[in-house]
Amino acid sequence: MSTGERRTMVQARDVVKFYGQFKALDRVSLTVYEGEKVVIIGPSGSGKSTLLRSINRLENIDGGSMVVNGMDLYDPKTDLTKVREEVGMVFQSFNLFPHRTVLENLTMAQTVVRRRPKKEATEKARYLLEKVGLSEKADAYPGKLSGGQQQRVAIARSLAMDPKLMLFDEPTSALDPEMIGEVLDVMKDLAHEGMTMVVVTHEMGFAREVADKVIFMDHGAVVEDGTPEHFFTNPTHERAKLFLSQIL
Amino acid sequence: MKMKQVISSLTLLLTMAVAGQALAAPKVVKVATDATWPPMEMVDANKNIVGFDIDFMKAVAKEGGFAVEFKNSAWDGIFAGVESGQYDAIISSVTITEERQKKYDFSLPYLDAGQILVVPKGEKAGKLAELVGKKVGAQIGTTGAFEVKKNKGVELKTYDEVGLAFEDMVAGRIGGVVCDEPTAIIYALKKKEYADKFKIVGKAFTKEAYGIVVKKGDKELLALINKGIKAVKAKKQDGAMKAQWLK
Amino acid sequence: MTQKPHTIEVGDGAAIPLKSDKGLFTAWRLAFVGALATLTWLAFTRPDPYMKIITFVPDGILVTFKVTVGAILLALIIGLITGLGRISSNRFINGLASLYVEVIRGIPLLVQIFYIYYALGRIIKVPDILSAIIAMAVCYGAYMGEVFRAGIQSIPKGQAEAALSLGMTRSQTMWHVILPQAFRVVLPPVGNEFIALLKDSSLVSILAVADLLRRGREFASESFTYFETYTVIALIYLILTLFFSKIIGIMEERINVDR
Repeated sequence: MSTGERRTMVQARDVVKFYGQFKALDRVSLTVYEGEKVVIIGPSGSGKSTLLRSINRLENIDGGSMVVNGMDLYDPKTDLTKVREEVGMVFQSFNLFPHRTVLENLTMAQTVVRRRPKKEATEKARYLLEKVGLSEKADAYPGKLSGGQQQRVAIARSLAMDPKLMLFDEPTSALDPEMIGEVLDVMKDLAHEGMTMVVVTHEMGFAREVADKVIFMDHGAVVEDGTPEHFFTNPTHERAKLFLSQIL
Repeated sequence: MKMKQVISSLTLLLTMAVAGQALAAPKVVKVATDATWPPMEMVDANKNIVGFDIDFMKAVAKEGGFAVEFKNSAWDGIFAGVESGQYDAIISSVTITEERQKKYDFSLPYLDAGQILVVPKGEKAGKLAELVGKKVGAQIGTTGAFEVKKNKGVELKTYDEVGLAFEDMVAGRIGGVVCDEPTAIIYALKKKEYADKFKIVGKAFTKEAYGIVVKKGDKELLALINKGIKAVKAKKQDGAMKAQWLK
Repeated sequence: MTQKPHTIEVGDGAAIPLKSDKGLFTAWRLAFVGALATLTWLAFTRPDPYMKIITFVPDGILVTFKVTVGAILLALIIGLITGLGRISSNRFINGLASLYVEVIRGIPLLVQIFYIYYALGRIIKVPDILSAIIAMAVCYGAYMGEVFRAGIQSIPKGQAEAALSLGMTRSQTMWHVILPQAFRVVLPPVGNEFIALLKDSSLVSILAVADLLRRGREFASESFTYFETYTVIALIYLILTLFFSKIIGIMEERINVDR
């Protein structure tokens, strides 16, 4: 596949991150093109969430560079909020705002950050809630929703900002098994619509079906980087083989 | 056997000692005073309670044949203390009033006094009644406070200590202070930090007399105190005290 | 996974009765009804001095109320600023807020009240009730600051991360996401502080502010009915604190109902 004419959404070079003495990221490089779906997998503690969180600078990196949507995150002139407006993020623990209704969760950033009129924001929110199948929950508080419903709202909340890139940090790990499907379906729809996505997950079926590229991380470093076919059928690295044998 | 002897002799000694002391030592009278009322009663730089009342009480005790022990006590509640027996008497510039006489017994009057008004230097009012619409301070439960209350339109503000009232007058929160004349003289004329800020208005506008307070019905102590006062007056001992404290 | 509001443990302060706390709720009823009944009974069976006392002190209750409400409002503002200062990453602001909290917490309330009252009098000539309010607020602001700090820190980190990842600035995140949730968490301890402040407001009587206690003292020192007067004063304070703790309890229950 030719990627020459496609825009680069994420360009991470030799990223290093320490937690005290512990090296969480060890010279990690990653390129994500517009429209591309990248799935990052690896054992816990491999640094995959840290890498994802450094893409919108929820984590500061200690070395290397990170350019997102053409903006260098560590250039003092870069307005970080401008970067984050364009980068949606979905968390393992949903992080919906419990003091606001579902609808208000979707309109808040639209009005506060994008400065959209309330009417426009509400219309957008209702459209997205319908899209994730939760129109009837618009006026409920998040606490009354199931985990799967909450996560779908969280995805809709991010989408309300019209992001160019979506980051998913283990979006189904906190869910009961019967709710995982509904969230993955929403993510698959999103993928088919052409959204650029970086997904940290343990859902191998999702990776196989949706990913353009699978990245396997271990001990803070990228060990494998290739197509799903290559990764799932013929991984080159021993640790990847071991991981696959344990998880499949 | 020996032990028994030791114990009995010890007991004997102890009994004699206690009895001897009771016979030899004069009765100790606990006297309360609110030592925030210069020059009548105050605490000096050495933390001793001093003042006219203190010297006078000592003289009365000497003449009356009893010992005296002073107890510094807040004015607010000083009467309650004598009632509940925390001390036997009060000497604290207590004006003899009918109201108080209903509740407590007073000695013979021992000093004449009167209330006087202190105001900031620029004040033009010639008497208390002219301070209508203003707040006037006095120590809580004093005859000064009662006098302020009698003037309609003058708002009384009561303080735990008269010194705090003068400090509030510096801050502009009140327009006058009413207190006993000797105390007014100290604050308005003799204290360096206030002398250029305050002035005394006219002369004392009440005629009052101080008495020593005892619990209602404590005739025995009252007789001792009155005997002392009479003796002190007869010997004109209070003249020197007045010269020392009230001039 | 539902996010339950965190609660903060605050040791002192009055007990706030909730319907769910049966023991305390019964105790509250008993005390409240008992205090009211005693006061009424005394007023009618022995109008002299009780009725006289009860009719003498109402303007003092008003002053006590003014001082308490004024001080709590001011303390909330000071506390919010201090709490935000205490979690600030700016060293200077953080240091300043911490210094304020340390200094205030290290000085007895009564001493502070004296100090601020007479200092204000010397420097900027503030009227008495306002001085008393400021003195109480400066003190309680420090405690309130700690309550707010704990309240803000009790909000899960994910909330701020979610807001930031939506492109909100730090202050937008604080204002729209963290503080509204923190307010709910701090309500019980703020309620406690309010009751504590209501009681501590009696300290301003030392400043010659004519509050409930001072009115009582004035009455007692003139009529020499110390026991009777302080019985009435104690009962009125008790009724006031019980009344407000009940109101705070109701507010708390309302907020805990849904969400």
